[in-house]
Amino acid sequence: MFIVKNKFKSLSYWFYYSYVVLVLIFTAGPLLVTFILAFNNSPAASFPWQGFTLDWFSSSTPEREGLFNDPRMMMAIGTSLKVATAVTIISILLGINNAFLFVREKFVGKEFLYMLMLGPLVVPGVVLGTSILSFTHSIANSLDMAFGAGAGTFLRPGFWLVVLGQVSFVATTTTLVITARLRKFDQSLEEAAMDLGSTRARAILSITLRFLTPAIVGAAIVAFLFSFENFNTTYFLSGPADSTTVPIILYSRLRFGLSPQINAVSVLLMVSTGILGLIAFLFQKGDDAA
Amino acid sequence: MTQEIDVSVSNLTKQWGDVKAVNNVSFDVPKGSFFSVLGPSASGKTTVLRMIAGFETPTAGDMFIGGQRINDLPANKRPCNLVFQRLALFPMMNVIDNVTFGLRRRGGIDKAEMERMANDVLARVDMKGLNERKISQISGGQQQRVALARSLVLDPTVLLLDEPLSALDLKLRQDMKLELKRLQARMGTTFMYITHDQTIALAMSDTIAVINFGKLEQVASPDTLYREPATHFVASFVGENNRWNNGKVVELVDEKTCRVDFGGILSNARMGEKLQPGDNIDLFIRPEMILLKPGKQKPGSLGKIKEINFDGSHSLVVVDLVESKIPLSINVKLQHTEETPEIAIGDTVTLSWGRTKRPAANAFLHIEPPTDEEE
Amino acid sequence: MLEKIKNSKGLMLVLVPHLVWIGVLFVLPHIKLFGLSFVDRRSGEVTLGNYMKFFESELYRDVFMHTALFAILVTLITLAIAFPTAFIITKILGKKMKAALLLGIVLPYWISELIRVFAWMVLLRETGVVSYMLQAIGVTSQNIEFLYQNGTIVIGLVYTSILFMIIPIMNSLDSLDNSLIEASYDLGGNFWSTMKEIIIPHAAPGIMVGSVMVFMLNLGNYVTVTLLGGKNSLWFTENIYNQFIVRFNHNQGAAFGVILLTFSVLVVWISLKVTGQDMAEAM
Repeated sequence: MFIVKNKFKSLSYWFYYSYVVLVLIFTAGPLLVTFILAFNNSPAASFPWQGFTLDWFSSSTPEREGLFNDPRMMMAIGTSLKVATAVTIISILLGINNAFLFVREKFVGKEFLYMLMLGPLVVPGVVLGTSILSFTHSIANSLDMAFGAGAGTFLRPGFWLVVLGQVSFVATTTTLVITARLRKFDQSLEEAAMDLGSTRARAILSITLRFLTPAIVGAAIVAFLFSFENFNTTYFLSGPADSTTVPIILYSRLRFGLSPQINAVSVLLMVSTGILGLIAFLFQKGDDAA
Repeated sequence: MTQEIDVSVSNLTKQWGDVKAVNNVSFDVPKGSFFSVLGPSASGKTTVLRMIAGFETPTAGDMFIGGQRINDLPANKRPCNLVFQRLALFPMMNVIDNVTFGLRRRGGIDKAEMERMANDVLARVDMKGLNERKISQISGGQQQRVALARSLVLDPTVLLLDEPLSALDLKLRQDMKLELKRLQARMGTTFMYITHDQTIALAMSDTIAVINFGKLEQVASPDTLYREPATHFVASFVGENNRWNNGKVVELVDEKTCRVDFGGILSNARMGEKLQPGDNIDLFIRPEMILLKPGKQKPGSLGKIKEINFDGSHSLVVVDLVESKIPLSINVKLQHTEETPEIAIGDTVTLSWGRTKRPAANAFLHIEPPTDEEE
Repeated sequence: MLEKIKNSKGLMLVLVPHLVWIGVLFVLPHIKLFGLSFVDRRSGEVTLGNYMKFFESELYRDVFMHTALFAILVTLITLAIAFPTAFIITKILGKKMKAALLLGIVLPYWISELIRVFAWMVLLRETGVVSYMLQAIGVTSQNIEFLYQNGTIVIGLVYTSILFMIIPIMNSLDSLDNSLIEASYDLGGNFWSTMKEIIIPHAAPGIMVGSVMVFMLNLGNYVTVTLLGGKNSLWFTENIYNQFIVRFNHNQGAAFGVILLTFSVLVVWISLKVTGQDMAEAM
């Protein structure tokens, strides 16, 4: 505080200010340009500006395939939404469970288990994806052998394997967020509810979970976004079309040239993640105030 | 006798937006004295200190240390050092490195000499043998000593202290209070102490400046401040007091004293400010200056005991004044001695005050008391 | 006694789901990966062959060295940019500004890495925005290709990971009591001595966490390096992908994965030792 007020006002203050502005241009600038070019009436995804158009969203001509008329892209969006929803639900349940485990329970090896729990977040996504693929691959083979071909299909690359793979590291994130909130909870509130005649289950439902709600909402949004944007782990675990998520399809397309349609996809993702991110941020703020 | 002045501020003002946190404050701190700035929270006392230390820039006014104008000196060049409220000891360093920090910044002193100086000042604050300890490994009282040593080793013209005792628990605070005063007397360094705690200020200071809403109310010795408050605020803020509102000045007895009337009860009072007969005034009466005798006696006012609150060396007795035409009660601090009369609730007693040279009651023009909502 | 049984029931209720998750989706797969790496693909015998292949092939070794050095280089560059940013945001600019700035830096990171890389491709490719701009202001008269170069990979990786450096450093600086900075000035310190003696030692755990995270992200990156670097990217993760996706050689891929994991754990461990930090404490 004092640094602003005395030493660094005037010239050096502006130096610091412009440094941060430069960093902001670095972080947000490229996305801003991408955003603008989604509305450029040019097939090149570049400047010069040739007028405003919504073709890259809605056109259906073969040379200008708009995002909403591209069945494969629309299907990938649908798949991503389904995967992210499943991952979010499972990860939130695990997160709540783990938070109670680490905050409420006492047992030998708790610290070791906590460090282990951080593992999925630290291990490179490539290694995580390949190890899950190898493991499930061998289990599925055993199942096929034991119960006949097809018994292990649900563990082959596909929708459910993608969900499982993402849960492995997304649940770590939800656990961290919810644990942090549960640590702040004054357990005597729960005891007070029981003292006033409530059962333990009811007390947890009505008092503790309500206290955790902001963290749960925040964690759910983070989980959803983590799932939606994941590539490294998902790439190994996705199989046929029903598990091709948006990042997967984007990757395959980006290797073969850039179309302004991808700018349109970017706009869609920016707007929706921006909204979700803002909600998470506001919830975080409300969380701090509470 | 002219005294050497170590710190002098004149017409110091600090404005945040429309609010004057410090409003035209001037005072001088004599060399070698223990000077306190006393005020309630948000009175502007900390801002005064931070301006002198160099962490805030005054909107107007001048500041001098040892005769040198310091307004334009950066904080790290000023001949004063600050003991922070929460001490701000460096947790990443041990005790000795904290104390030599300022010496290292000065440069030109060899390592052995730095250690000698640091050990010397640590000995003066009774902190021997813990040089290698981390800050987190020593007690709160020891941290106070290290914080003092860290500043004193630089031999500042004036040591600024921002309520460093407030973080301690009560017992330790009492001990450190006495020790701090002895240390100041021994070293002869000018201390400027900021506090909201009047018991600390009264006990330690040679001079106290009382500040409220950014304005200087009174600069005086603790004794003068207590017995002869210059303003309504000082009378209500410093020490315990009975406060009676909305009395009338009956007549002026001499240039210092007047006679006042509360519902028929007449009393002599020192005039805290210029008063005229007929003025609407508030009266402040020190509870320990009231003489309480059992039964009906002359002279004095008759009262009936309503409450007795025992407190060891004394009792606080609440007495209703029965001769008054308006409901009037008063707190009397009754020292327990061999001659203290036996009293009980409901007893009739006689109260008298203001019969000695020392003023027991001070009168000021009436000010509406703050309501609870404003608190 | 009854109480104890009741308690252990409650413990089991939350312990079992946790163990199933961490066991099935993390521990067992890694054990499997480790095991696979020691098995010969054709004969099914236990072998060190998959590792020998790495150590005997100059190409694999070069790619690995290249990846490791670049990951470290990018981590250092990211730190150099992120530390001043975190410092200015937490200690110099006001509180209101902080929220707005943080939003501007954090929000881009909620968006898919694919989109972020795409944004840089739009800027840097031969017919891209930067090339167009340079021609528009007359610096050059022809298209310039910025993609598929090491410098581009560095920019892309710094971009992808800078947030993970800024946030931990901001958190550690946030917990630095401003009065420590003031005390340093009060005792005669200046900007650099305060930085060296007070601010950086206090922020060290945050710097450490940030560096570890950024290093791991770089080492394990695939999307940014392959899209911005094309065939010249020479990133070790490509070998892992190729073994699993293109050649279906899980055993060889597993060995590469174990090598990558071992190396990253080693680097993190050494840097923690060297800087005297405790990771558990820092996190």
